[in-house]
Amino acid sequence: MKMKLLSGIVLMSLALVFSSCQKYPQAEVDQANAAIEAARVAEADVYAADEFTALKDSLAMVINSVEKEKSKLFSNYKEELTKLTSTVEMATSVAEKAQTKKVEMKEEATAILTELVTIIDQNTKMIAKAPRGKEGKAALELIQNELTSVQTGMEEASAKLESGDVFNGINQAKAIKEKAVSIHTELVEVLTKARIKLPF
Amino acid sequence: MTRRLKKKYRRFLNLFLTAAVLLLAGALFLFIPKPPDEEMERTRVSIGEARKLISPDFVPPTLTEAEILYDSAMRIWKQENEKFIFSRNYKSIINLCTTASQLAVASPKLADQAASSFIDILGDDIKTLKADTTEIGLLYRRLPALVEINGKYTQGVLLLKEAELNLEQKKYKESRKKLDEAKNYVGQVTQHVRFLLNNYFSKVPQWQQQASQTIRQSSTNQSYAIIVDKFATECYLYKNGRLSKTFKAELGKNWIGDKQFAGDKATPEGLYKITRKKQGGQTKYYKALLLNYPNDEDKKRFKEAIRNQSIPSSSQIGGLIEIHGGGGKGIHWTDGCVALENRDMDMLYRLVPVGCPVLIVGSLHSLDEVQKKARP
Repeated sequence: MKMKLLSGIVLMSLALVFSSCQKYPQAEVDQANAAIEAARVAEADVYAADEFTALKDSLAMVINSVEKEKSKLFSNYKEELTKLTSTVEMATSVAEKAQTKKVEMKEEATAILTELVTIIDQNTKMIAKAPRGKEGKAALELIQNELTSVQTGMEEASAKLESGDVFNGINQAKAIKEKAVSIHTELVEVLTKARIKLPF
Repeated sequence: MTRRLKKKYRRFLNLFLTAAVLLLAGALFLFIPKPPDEEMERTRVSIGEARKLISPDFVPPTLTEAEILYDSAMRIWKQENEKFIFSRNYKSIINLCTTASQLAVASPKLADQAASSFIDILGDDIKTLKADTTEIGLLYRRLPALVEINGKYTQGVLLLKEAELNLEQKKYKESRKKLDEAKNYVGQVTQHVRFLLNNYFSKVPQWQQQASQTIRQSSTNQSYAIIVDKFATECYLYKNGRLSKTFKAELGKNWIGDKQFAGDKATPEGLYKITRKKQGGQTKYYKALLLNYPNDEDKKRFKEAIRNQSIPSSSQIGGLIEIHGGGGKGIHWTDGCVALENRDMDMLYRLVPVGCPVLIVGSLHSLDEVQKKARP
């Protein structure tokens, strides 16, 4: 009778131990992967590159840990589940950070382009006012030509921003602004030298 | 007695069996293969460290390979974990991890070698193109308006700036791309300007000889002589073979090259004489010294050009080339004359007589000398 009881206890203990083996957290792993992919789609790899690399590394660490648990006779994924949830949260935060950074850069580029519109407008007005004698015609033709290149560049930069290529768009806008400002300075000099009132 | 012994024996047997089962179970634990988590973790850390140290522009093939091996190891680990616990085999995973770790550890050094030489070359190339662009800009802005190449120059300048910004942002590959595009534009401008200037400056020895001769004659005859250096935009007054005054001069807007025909807005090159002094109502440019353009050489060259059809057959040789006032505008604007500021014109007009030789040359200095002078 005692032996039957002992055997029963052993069997029940074994059943309890085996039943304590948890199910592989596939759904949570998939969710974490999906969150990272969403961060990538949000261009976190471009606008929050360091954080995105850390995020991917973090998931790789959790997966390692999950597989380590799975390799055991009695798996317990409690800790890993917490880490997977943190990874999803981290991915969401990185994606938001990337979007914020992108929006900030786009705003900066848009501000430069808005400023450029004013500078170009002033340049155009100054060209119209500049001395039109034979002595000025050639120089003005060159400046007008440069201004046309600046306007074309501005349209290109604007198109890049619209298509989401904010990195190249902002750089192009910065380069164009420098040139537009130098034309502006040159024209102000021409008009001042010719004692013509600035038209703005 | 026998019953008691049997009971004892059964109890002993039961205890023995239980102990045996527990021992066996314990022994089985020993046979469970050790998972490769340490190796996997070590590899992950190595790859992560390498990724942190290496710019995305310079990821060496070794790191890519390490990542592929790590992914393979992970796949195999997952596959093995699906098997019955005692039949799992992690040996290949450990081998993959060892190789992947070695590759990842070696990667930063390899990337660093590639990156440092790439960045150094890129930085140097940007500096060189910047200097070239400034130099060609200084030369090109002194030339008559070249609208067709002006657009290319502007484009080159804009792309060069973008390349600089990309370098600052550590976008090295993008910087190289922009720099190459800028190089292409600036290269076309350089080629055009160099061709023009090399042609122009090829006559420098001849011009220098003419200038020496003119100065010598001024010394021999104890008289005045005027030399106009078109590229330097200066007019020199010599007295008795010595430089007496230097004036800033403005020329025809197509001043580069010799005058070909009437209306080409070029300032002629050659040895002339003042044939008439004009002032008051005789000239609209304050005061003027009329030159004997076209001289015999100009006429000969003009006829040859008509014969060669290098100029339209209906062309006229032109005339009325003067040194006159009205200058000081800061640009070349005349129809081919040499313009001085009125106060300079006053002085020149007062000093030089009719018959005074006027030598107009493209340049008294070689292109190298001019470029060295132009460098900031």
